[in-house]
This record gives sequence, C-alpha cells and structure tokens, in this order.
Amino acid sequence: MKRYLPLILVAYFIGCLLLILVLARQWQDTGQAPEQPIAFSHPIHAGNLGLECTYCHQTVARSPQATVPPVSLCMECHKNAAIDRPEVQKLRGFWERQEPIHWQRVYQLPWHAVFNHKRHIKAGVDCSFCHGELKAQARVRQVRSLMMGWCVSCHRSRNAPTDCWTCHK
Amino acid sequence: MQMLNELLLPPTDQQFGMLAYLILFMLLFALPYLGLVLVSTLASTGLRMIKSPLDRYFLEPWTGGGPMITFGVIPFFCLMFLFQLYFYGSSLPVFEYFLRIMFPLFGGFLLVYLYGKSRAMILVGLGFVLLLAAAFFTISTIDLMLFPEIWAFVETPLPAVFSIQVIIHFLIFLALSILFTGAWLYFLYFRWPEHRRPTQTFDYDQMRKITGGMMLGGVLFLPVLMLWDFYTLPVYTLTSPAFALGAVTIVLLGVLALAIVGILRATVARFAVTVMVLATIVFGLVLVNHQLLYARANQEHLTLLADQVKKEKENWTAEREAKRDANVVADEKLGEKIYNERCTACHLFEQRVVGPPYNEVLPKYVDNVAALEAFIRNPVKVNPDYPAMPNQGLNVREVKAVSAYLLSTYAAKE
Ligand code: HEC
Ligand code: HEC
Ligand code: HEC
Ligand code: HEC
Ligand code: HEC
Ligand code: HEC
Repeated sequence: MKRYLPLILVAYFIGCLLLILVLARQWQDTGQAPEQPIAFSHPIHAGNLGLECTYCHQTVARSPQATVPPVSLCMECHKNAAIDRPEVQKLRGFWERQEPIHWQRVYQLPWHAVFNHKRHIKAGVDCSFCHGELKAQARVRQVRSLMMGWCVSCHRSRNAPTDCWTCHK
Repeated sequence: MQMLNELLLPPTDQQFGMLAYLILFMLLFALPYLGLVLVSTLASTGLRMIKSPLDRYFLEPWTGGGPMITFGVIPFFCLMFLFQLYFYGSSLPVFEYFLRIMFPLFGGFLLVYLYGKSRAMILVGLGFVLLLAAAFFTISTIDLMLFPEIWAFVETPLPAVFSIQVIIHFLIFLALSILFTGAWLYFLYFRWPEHRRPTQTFDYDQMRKITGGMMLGGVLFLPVLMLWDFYTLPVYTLTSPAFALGAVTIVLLGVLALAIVGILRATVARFAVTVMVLATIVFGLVLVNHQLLYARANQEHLTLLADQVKKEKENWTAEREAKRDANVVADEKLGEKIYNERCTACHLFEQRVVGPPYNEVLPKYVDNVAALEAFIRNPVKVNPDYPAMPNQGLNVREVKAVSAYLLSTYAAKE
C-alpha cells in the first residue's frame, strides 16, 4: 500500500482534473450563452437601432410567454437592410426555404415550475431585472440563477403570492 | 450608514475594475494571514508536540502589534470601504456586516496577543473561537459578491449564510489555511537561516510528520471542495478562465502532493522551499479564481449601474441644454456625423432600406423644419408600408443639427 501511494495520488489528481474538465464541458454545452443558429445581436437591434423589446417579443405583456419573433418579422426590415452581411444572408436562406429558425433557449425553467411574463410586466418589473442589459450582451446569456429562492424572495418583498400552487401546477 | 452611502459617488465601470483589483489585493494580505493565525492558534492548543515551535515561529513573531495591524487590521478597514463602494446602490448594510466581522476579529487578535505575553491556554483557545467566527463572517460577506440577484432582498443580518457556496468557500479557506500553515511551518523550521533549530529536545521526525500530515490533509481535500464548488456555483458566475484556473490549481496540488509524500518518506528534511512556494501560489490562485467568479457575477449589475449613471448625467446635461434651447444654432457638421452614424443603417436618399428614401419624405418638410424636428425627436407611425421608426434618443441640439443637414443636402441634390 505504502509503495503505491504516489501512484494512488497521481490517479486521484488526474481523476479530479478529468472531472473538472467534464464540468467545464457540461457548462459550455448548457450553462453558457448557447451558440445561436444566426448570430442575432441585441446590441445592434435594441441598442443602436433603438427597437423596443415588444417590437419583437410581441406577446410579453399580453401572455405568459414572451416568444421569440418569427422570421417574417425579421424580413420586414431585412428584405432591404444589411443584406450584404453573411449572417443576414443566412437569415434570408431560412426565409426562402420557408424554414423556422430553431433558436436555442437561454432562460428555461424546469417543467414543474410555471412562469408568467404578463403578470410581471403589469407589476412594473423591468426586463433588465431578470434578463440583464440586453443592449450589452452580444450573445444572450443567463444572468440570473432562476432558483426558487430568488423568485420567492422577490415575491415576499413585493407581496406577491408565495404559496406553492402559484408556481407549481 | 445611509450617510456614508450618500457621501460616495456612484463608481464608473473603470472604477469598478479598479475596485475588484484592490479588493483582491487586500484579500491576498488578509486571508492568508488570518488563516495562519487561525491554524496556529488551533494547533497551539491542540497539538502539544509542536506547540513550542509553533509558538516560537508563528505566534511570537507574527502576532506582535506590528504584523497584526499591517495584515489583520488595516486590510479589513480598507475592505470595508471598498465593499461600501462595490455594493453601491444596493440596500446591503455593509458597515454592519463589517462590524460583525471586526468585533470577533479584533477580540481574537487581542487574546492571541495577550497569550504571547502570558501563555495562558484559555486565552489562545478563546481567541481561536473568535477568529473562526470572524473568518466565517468574512467569507459570507465576501461571497455576497456572488449573488447580486439577491442584494435587493437581503434583510436578515446573516445574508447568504445558508447558501451552500459560503459553506464550501469556508471549507476551502480552512483547507488552504492548513496547507499554508503546514508548509510555512515546515519551511521556517527546517530552512529559515535565522531560526536555527531550537535547543530544547524535540523530535524532528515528529515535526516533519505533523507538518507533512497537515499539508497532505489540505492538499487532498482541496480538489474535492473545488469540484463541489464548480458543481454548485450558479451558471451566471462561471467563465472559461475560471475553469482553466481551477484545472491549473489541481495540477499544482498534485505536484504538491507528490512533494509531500517525498517529505513524509524521507529521513531528512527536503523540498522545504518547494512546498512553501507552491502552497503560497495555490492560496493566491484560489483567491484569484474566486475573484473571476465575482467579476462575472457582477458584470450585468455593473452594466446596469453604468447605464444608470450615464442616464443621470444625460438628464443633467439635457436640463442645462433646455435652458439654452432658444438660441441653439444648427450645426451641420454635427448633423452629418449623426446622419452617418445613426440614420444610414435605415435610410438612404434614393432608395428604400428599412425606412423610406429621404427623397420621398423630405419634400413635405422643406418649409417646415419644426415638423421634421418634432418627428425625429419623437417618431410616430406615418406610412403603413413601413414598420414604425424607433426613437433615436437624440437631444435637441442633435435633432436640430441633423434636420438642418438633411434639408440642406436635399436642397443641394434638387
Ligand atoms: C429585432 C428583434 C428583437 C428585439 C428588438 C429584441 N429581441 Fe430579444 N430576442 C430576439 C431573438 C431573435 C432572440 C433569439 C435569439 C437569441 O437568443 O439571441 C431573442 C432572445 C431573447 C432572450 C433570450 C430568450 C431565451 O431564453 O432563449 C431574451 C431574454 C430577450 N431576447 C430579451 C429581450 C429584451 C429584454 C429586449 C429589449 C431590450 C429584446 N429582447 C429585444 C429578437 C429581439
Ligand atoms: C420576473 C423576471 C422576468 C422578467 C421581468 C422578464 N422575464 Fe423573460 N423570462 C423570465 C423567465 C423565468 C423565463 C423562462 C420562462 C420559462 O422557462 O418558462 C423567461 C423567458 C424569456 C424569453 C424566452 C422564452 C419565452 O417566454 O418565449 C424571452 C424572449 C423573454 N423572457 C423576454 C423578456 C422580455 C422582453 C421582458 C421584458 C418585457 C422579460 N422577458 C421580462 C423571467 C423574466
Ligand atoms: C427594424 C428593422 C429590423 C428588424 C425588425 C430586424 N433587423 Fe436585423 N438589422 C437591421 C439593421 C438596420 C441592421 C444593420 C445594422 C448596422 O448596420 O449596424 C441589422 C443587422 C442585422 C444582422 C447583422 C448584424 C451584424 O453582425 O452585422 C443580423 C444577423 C440581423 N440583423 C438579424 C436579424 C434577425 C434574426 C431579425 C429578426 C428577429 C432581425 N434582424 C430583425 C434592422 C432590423
Ligand atoms: C422582481 C421581483 C419578482 C421576481 C424576481 C419574480 N417575480 Fe413572480 N411576481 C412578481 C410580482 C410583483 C407578482 C404579482 C403580480 C400581480 O400581482 O399580478 C408576481 C406574480 C407571479 C406569478 C403569477 C401569480 C398569480 O397570481 O397567478 C407567477 C406564476 C410568478 N410570479 C412566478 C415567478 C417565478 C417562477 C419566478 C422565478 C423564476 C418569479 N415569479 C420571479 C415579482 C417577481
Ligand atoms: C415564486 C415561485 C415559486 C413558489 C411560490 C414556489 N416555488 Fe418551488 N420552485 C420554483 C422554481 C422556479 C423552481 C425551479 C428551481 C430550480 O431549477 O432549482 C422550483 C423548484 C422546486 C422544487 C424542486 C427543487 C429542485 O432542486 O429541483 C421543489 C421540491 C419545490 N420547488 C417545492 C416548492 C414548495 C413545497 C413550495 C411551497 C412552499 C414552492 N416550491 C413554492 C418556484 C417556486
Ligand atoms: C431602425 C431603422 C431606422 C433608423 C435608425 C432611422 N429611421 Fe427614420 N424611418 C424608419 C422607418 C421604418 C420609417 C418609416 C416610418 C413610418 O412611415 O411610419 C422612417 C421614417 C423617417 C422619416 C420620414 C417620416 C415621414 O413623415 O414619413 C424621416 C424624416 C426619418 N425617418 C428620419 C430619420 C433620421 C434623421 C434618422 C437618424 C437620426 C433616422 N430616421 C433613423 C426607420 C429608421
């Protein structure tokens, strides 16, 4: 046993190293800002061009889901605007093939929790409170943990309902 | 501490970068020192065998008034002010958190200092307990930087104490302290030229084994704790450099472990400099790694804060400008610049892009600059063939300038 101690130690540390690489890999696949099929930029559209969030996320103030806009909305402008950019040409490819774009979800609650945008917008909670400043995120990334403790502590401080049925249906 | 908050100006984002470095710098002083004193007081009460070298090499030289004030007291006062700035705009009672740290901290230091004079065991035991409490409060306060999302809701005196991260980070701190103290004790005992070996009988072998055991314990626990940490950290705190630094730290710990096995097996003392240097580097790396997590966690918060500061400033200048509004002269140079930067993405004179070609829409404004200015200042829906034009957020001076530029360019083209 004593003779093999260095070997055991080396195996232990290599094991830990591998585990940390696995964690890093897993984080890159799921946790980090995911790669999108088209490099859509909030800084350009919501920042430079000054579009309102609701211009694209049209149902955010009206329904539980915010929804990501369909290609047709992009094409209102991109029939003409910036058509020389490779990413916009990709967009036009989707349009011509009549194919929906499968955007990667960034904010996603587990199946057992429900969320409702409309109620929060009505209550005057700003998008940036939960999603950060999109105008500075070249690629959308998750800036809140979306853990239950976070939801509940805000609900408590704002006198919003906190019984289990509110969020677990 | 409302008053303190009001005295402070909101920091800009460059200043925030600076703040992070200063906080890191202070922690690099404060935490290893605190760990050193903590572990040596514990060992001094618990491990009778190495009591005399511990007292001689650590407690006596390091718990004098000078080192205590330099490493133990001043950094904490600096940290208090740095944190007050860092948490600007949140309702966190930073000052109270630091009071909670400083009472046990200074009490503990005082007891350990008195122990140096009187050698009463009760003093050093009590000192240990107080220092342990201080260390826990310190970690939980620093870790608030991980959770900007809960700042708005923290009301209880011990925020985030029940967060798993605080507990993991506290354990990491303890493991690091044990490793660090063991390595320095070993180094000072066997290598430091001024401290030749003490004359009283003491089993060198035992000293080697005890310090080696301390180091090995720390080294074996750290990777597990780090993995647990990475596994439980909220996604918004992680970055690739943080993972990379974690991996480097684990490799260094592996090297350290092999050196320690070498130490435990040898009959003579060796690797003293190696383990001391490596243990010190590992301590530093872990602190830097945590700083990376804090920086990432706060990136969003800082952007929002910088925005807010900018808006306040703009409002202020807009107010001043409104006063001079009447006699603003349209500056066509500025107009051209704004046109090129802001309008050409959507408009050209001859051709439809996102918005209509200017040649089609400007005729109705030729004799009515005011209407054009009003539209640009606050666009309304005009033509159903086009989407609505977003508000460009220009101020009065800029709107005047760009309107004048558009009309004169249009006139020149005619
Ligand atoms: C020009 C249209 C457009 C505008 C304006 C816009 N968005 Fe988006 N948004 C998108 C598209 C397309 C996606 C999906 C691609 C992506 O995630 O980058 C998206 C994704 C998002 C997501 C991530 C959704 C998820 O979980 O996958 C959030 C959050 C978001 N937008 C918030 C906002 C906010 C807040 C604003 C206002 C500041 C805004 N958006 C303005 C088009 C827009
Ligand atoms: C109270 C926090 C909160 C606020 C405020 C908020 N969101 Fe969300 N948003 C969420 C959560 C949580 C999800 C994930 C929902 C799910 O998985 O069902 C989400 C998901 C999204 C998505 C992608 C999924 C979808 O619903 O289609 C978009 C886009 C989005 N939000 C945009 C916005 C915009 C735009 C605003 C501001 C008008 C906004 N959000 C305000 C918490 C918030
Ligand atoms: C209100 C009009 C408008 C809408 C709606 C719009 N865009 Fe754009 N988009 C523009 C303009 C204008 C530019 C060019 C900006 C510039 O020159 O910087 C642009 C640029 C781009 C670019 C190129 C960015 C780069 O890196 O240069 C992409 C990709 C893009 N848009 C994708 C989309 C997608 C996807 C949608 C639909 C969700 C969309 N746009 C909706 C006006 C719009
Ligand atoms: C910024 C504070 C804030 C945060 C964070 C927040 N909420 Fe809310 N939420 C509110 C407020 C305020 C209301 C009450 C709106 C009302 O009275 O109509 C509300 C209402 C709701 C409702 C509707 C309640 C009903 O009566 O049907 C649901 C569901 C909900 N929140 C879920 C969530 C979930 C899930 C999260 C975490 C992902 C979350 N909220 C995070 C402030 C917040
Ligand atoms: C404001 C919304 C909200 C309320 C109220 C709420 N939850 Fe949750 N809960 C959530 C969200 C969001 C999650 C998902 C968080 C996550 O991914 O860990 C969750 C997760 C959970 C989980 C799974 C934990 C895990 O690790 O996956 C349990 C169990 C749970 N909730 C129980 C409860 C119970 C019991 C109550 C009532 C006392 C309650 N919740 C009230 C929002 C809420
Ligand atoms: C995001 C794209 C976009 C940008 C950037 C933009 N515009 Fe427009 N503009 C439009 C659209 C779309 C319309 C058509 C609006 C309508 O008919 O309702 C329009 C219409 C106009 C009109 C005609 C209004 C009318 O009475 O028909 C003028 C003048 C104008 N814009 C000036 C400017 C100036 C000056 C700038 C730069 C400071 C600018 N626009 C920047 C999209 C844009």
